[in-house]
Amino acid sequence: MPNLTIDGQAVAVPVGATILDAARLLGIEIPTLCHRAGCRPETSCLVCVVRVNGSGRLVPSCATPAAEGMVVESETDEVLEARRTALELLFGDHLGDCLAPCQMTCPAGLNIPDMLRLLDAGRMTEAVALVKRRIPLPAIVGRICAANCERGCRRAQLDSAIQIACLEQQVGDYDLQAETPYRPLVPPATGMRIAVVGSGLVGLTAAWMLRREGHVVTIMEPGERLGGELLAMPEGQLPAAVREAEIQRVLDLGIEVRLQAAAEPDAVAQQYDAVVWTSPLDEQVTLAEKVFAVATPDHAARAVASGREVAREISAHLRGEASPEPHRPFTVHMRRLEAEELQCMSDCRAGARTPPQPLSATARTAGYKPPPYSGEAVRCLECDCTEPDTCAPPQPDSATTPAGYEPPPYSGEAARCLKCDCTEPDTCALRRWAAAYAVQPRRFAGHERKFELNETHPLIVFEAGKCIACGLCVQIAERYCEPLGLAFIGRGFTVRPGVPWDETLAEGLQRAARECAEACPTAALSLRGPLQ
Amino acid sequence: MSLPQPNFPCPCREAAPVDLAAVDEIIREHGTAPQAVVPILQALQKHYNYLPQEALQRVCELTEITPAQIMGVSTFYPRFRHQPAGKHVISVCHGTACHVKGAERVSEALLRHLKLPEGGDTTEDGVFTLQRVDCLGCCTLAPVVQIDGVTYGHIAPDGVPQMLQDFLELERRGALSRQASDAETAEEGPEIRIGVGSCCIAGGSLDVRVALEDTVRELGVAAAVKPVGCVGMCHQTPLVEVHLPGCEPAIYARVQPEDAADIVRRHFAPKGIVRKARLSLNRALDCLLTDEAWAPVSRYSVDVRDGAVGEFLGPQKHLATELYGTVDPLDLDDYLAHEGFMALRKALGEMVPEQVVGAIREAGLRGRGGAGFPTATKWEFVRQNEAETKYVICNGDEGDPGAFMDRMLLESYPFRVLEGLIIAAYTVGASEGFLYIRHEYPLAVQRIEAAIAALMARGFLGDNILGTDFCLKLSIMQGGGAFVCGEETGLIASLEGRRGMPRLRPPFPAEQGLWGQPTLVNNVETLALVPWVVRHGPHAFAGLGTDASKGTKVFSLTGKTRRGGLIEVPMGVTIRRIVEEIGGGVGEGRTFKAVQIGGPSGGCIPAELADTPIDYESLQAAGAIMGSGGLVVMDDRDCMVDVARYFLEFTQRESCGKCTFCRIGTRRMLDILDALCTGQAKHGDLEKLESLARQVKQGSLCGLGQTAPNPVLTTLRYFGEEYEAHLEGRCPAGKCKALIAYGINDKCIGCTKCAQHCPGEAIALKPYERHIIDQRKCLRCGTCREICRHDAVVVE
Repeated sequence: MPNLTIDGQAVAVPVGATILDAARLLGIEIPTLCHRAGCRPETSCLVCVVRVNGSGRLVPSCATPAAEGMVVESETDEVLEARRTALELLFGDHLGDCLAPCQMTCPAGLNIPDMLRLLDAGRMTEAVALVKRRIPLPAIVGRICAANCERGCRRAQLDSAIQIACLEQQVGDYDLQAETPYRPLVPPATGMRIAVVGSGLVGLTAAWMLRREGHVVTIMEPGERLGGELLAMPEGQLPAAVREAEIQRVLDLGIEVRLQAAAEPDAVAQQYDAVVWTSPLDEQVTLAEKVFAVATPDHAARAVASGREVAREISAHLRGEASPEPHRPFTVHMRRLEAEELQCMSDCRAGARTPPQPLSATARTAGYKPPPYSGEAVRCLECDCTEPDTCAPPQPDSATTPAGYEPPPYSGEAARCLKCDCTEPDTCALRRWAAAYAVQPRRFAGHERKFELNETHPLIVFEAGKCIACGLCVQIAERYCEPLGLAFIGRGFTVRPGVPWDETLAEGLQRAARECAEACPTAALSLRGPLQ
Repeated sequence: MSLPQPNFPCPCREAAPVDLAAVDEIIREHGTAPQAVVPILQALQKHYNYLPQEALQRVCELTEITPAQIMGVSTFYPRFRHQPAGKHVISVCHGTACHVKGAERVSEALLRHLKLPEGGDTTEDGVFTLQRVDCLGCCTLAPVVQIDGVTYGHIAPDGVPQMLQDFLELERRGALSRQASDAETAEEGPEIRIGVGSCCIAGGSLDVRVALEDTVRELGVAAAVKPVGCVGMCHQTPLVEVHLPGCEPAIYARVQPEDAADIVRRHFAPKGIVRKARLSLNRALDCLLTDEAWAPVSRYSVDVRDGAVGEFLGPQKHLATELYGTVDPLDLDDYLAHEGFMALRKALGEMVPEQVVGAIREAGLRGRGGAGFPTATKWEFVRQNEAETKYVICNGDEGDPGAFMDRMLLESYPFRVLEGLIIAAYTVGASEGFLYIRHEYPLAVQRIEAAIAALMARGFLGDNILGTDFCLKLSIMQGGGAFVCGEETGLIASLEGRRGMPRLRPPFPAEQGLWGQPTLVNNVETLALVPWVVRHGPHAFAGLGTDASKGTKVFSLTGKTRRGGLIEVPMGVTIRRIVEEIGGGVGEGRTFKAVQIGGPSGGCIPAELADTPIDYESLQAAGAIMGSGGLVVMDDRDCMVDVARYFLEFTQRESCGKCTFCRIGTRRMLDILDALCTGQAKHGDLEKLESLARQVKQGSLCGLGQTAPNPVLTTLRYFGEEYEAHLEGRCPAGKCKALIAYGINDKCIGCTKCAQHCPGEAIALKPYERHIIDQRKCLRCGTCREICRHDAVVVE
């Protein structure tokens, strides 16, 4: 049993154990990419390096046997810096977006590619759920949003951007006329009471998000109708009926409304555990700690993001935690692709060959014919009673389907998506360690390889640009005694796994495909997802 | 600018059906085991000139080799092509010596002249394929271009058309197949020795040999024409020595075939004036017939006792090259007559293995392959291992551009290297051994093959060597042109029929090497020194050199010195003595700037540190390493950033691609150096370069990556101001093309020489007028500056 120390902690390990094994025994986390239980060490990625006995060199811990008396440094600045450099170098030669540019440019962070996949698959209810987790009012936002996402869309380089806002609106409209509209589960009451002052997009979103946490939420609207800035939208862009109906969907979650509620921050704060203040404020006013003031951006998705953010802050506040840092997921950006690369992308995504459909003129404003608005003012929108202050919690089935809605015929627009998002953003080990080591993914950017996509295999997809040449797939294919298997083709900087004789991936990996994809530390080899 | 990759599809030919009979024949010869893959591929490449896929598939059908293995291996080694090549292959040497002497410009000139299709490497008509090679090992003839078997030295960019014309002319005359006669004379008495090392052959010594033999026969002279190995004066090849009994030898340098008659006649007077007259007439006719419109090298004769050459040979110590220029490389009796195999007899007859190890330890011999690991320690480690099967390997995969001592030793003293290997095998208890030799050294392979056969026939190899129980079987493996296979674990992978990718050490090969067995891997020079140590005793060896670095070291001295070639000096000699006394200093009007030691793994030592003694520790302290012994001298016209870029370009190209630091790190370092050399570097790039260099050095898996940053780190350390200048867009040495412009000053006398040679026709041919360079047409090749005798061409 060799005894060694790692970062000053002593540990004894069985003979044959590696430094990595020893570190795991101690609970010291060492990043790995090319290491896999049951495979012989590849020692290619070198993100698991450690320093042994103060040597000037670093060694891969995954393959260095632990020896008696070893003094190992794992979390010293120099070792961490070397690991970070290794990760940064890998990113310097890793072509792909973790998250699609549309999602990254959407202030609300909507997972647009997944929404499009669901739409394309006709799985509307799932699409509604996906969208509403981020944007509770898609029928409204889809109509009025400035749609940064469309400006980020890579398809624009090829012909024209996917009409994302329109499709989002379709998702919202679908839910408005669904027989059982989307209604997330509300957890048991927390006993906390929260007032949301103002009922524009920020307030409505915050109210929805807070209600979803199980808090009791009251919207206090100084005006006569809910909607705040939405009320100023021209009917042609945002029909009042759509606005009313979708706001009703929010209230259906069990939110109390008080209209014409004159409110002072201090006064409200006395009655509630926390206050979201979205109305204009006198600058001189000093707010109590539990009053969270939010400005209303004039950008729909950004307003949604603000509402979401303030809800997060309040939840943390109520749990007695510090205000959370704004969470920005780790991602890398693929460079601007060349025309032939885009062509390869669109050729491989069968649906992406669909020509663009002129949606903006039709669906975005005319897909939904709203019923006439009643015009009555002081009313509880939940149960139509005249005493909103004392109104009981709403009934689950109180939602009504606006009459006259005809869903637009399936246009194929969603299928045009190039799906440039990563297929494995949550399981990618490279991304995980990059986030943990706070790497600068573009630090060693340089000449980048071509975008390539191989969709010839029924089970897996190969995206060569994401390969970090770890060697696991080559080794696994050999272990499965594949008739063709995979080989490293070439040498040095351009080395990549490939199938002998330029055969298809399906020929190369007849048995080992699943394990290869599972072993792949990035999404270079990935199993086809349920939506692919 | 770089040449196209060698494996690009050839547009000129449609694939014809491949005749597969040869494949079956090759497999019969090499066997069906997985480790036969590299020899089989070598044979296929030789037969087809590329690797047709049908042939590879046939190999997989008939052998245990899998498609994945054959694809992995065949795409790893640059030697193998997957697309047909042109009828003739033009190899432009990009070794260090060739680089500093302008190989890049020669490549560009060839690209222009051959009008290669975009991205291709073969001319439209399928006549020529252009490729770059890392080193042809003819550094003293730099820049060197080889077309098939014909080597052209000292090629200037404007000499390219003539060179191609000359080659096609040779082909037309059927001269390419001309070979020297195989019957080697071994008579007593007067000898005419002709160097047949690669440099000499590259300089045309085979033709000279034929001419000498013809002349001797024709004149009826009683003299033997004897081929000998390298003499070391590679800058003056081909060399002919005339030895008359009782006389000092006379040495002729840069001899051309037409000089043969003069040389022979000078020393051996023909009988009768009539015959002489007839001969003169014939010779005159010969001259007319031979249409030598263009001579690849200029020639002159020189006497060995002449001051300059005497110095070149004088202060050296010849241990590994003990028999330089005296023995016929393949004449075993000649070798035996010069104390050959005395060491083996002594070891086998008088010493037990422990004593041999003891002698090596006392001698203080350290590995000559680069790292300087104590040889005795390695031997003892393998010897003590009780495994049944052990192996010895001679590492002759000398890949450093600018180093050719292993080639010279293998070619000139094959018996000597083999003797060392046999002693090593006896000592460690191995009964099988391999010599791994670069395929670029066909002569070395050929001679070692012949030498092994001769030794088998005479009982020095095989079963019961010299009547003892000791048996040894040796075989040769040809490398596939991958520098990284010089690393011992990479070499072993290659021998086992895998991609030559190094692995993590430990376990060291001495513990788990070839096929998991204890394996001793020693460099050629180390092995060549062993017989000397055994024969002369450890103290004679330890008496040379410094405290920690004993004995001598062979260097290939190249670059900007007046004289270049192979030298062997005692350890501890200063760099200055080598450059000034042996190399004769740098050229007229130039100043000695730096010396690059150790090839791509080594570093640049500036002239201020020229008094650094050459030993393992001092060089390491200066940031360089001994390496395998390349020593390239640079003058004030050499840009250190460009030199660093050159070496890094080499190592990043030679990286096996396994570990992150080396695969991507060296590439990103190269990107920064490229930016510096083209004036596109940004603020902060130098810091980034240095920090990345340190990370690559400490984090890479094998010696290649760990030492790759050395040229960058040493030049950053000693020539930081040159890097700063590049950051500002200046190249002080006037080398980096993107940062300079050529101009002509008042010194111009209008001789039109520059205008005649300008490959870009950027200088109007106006006699007696001051010339003007048209900057729009200027290719910045520097030909005008090289050629001007009046210092009128300046870098602005």
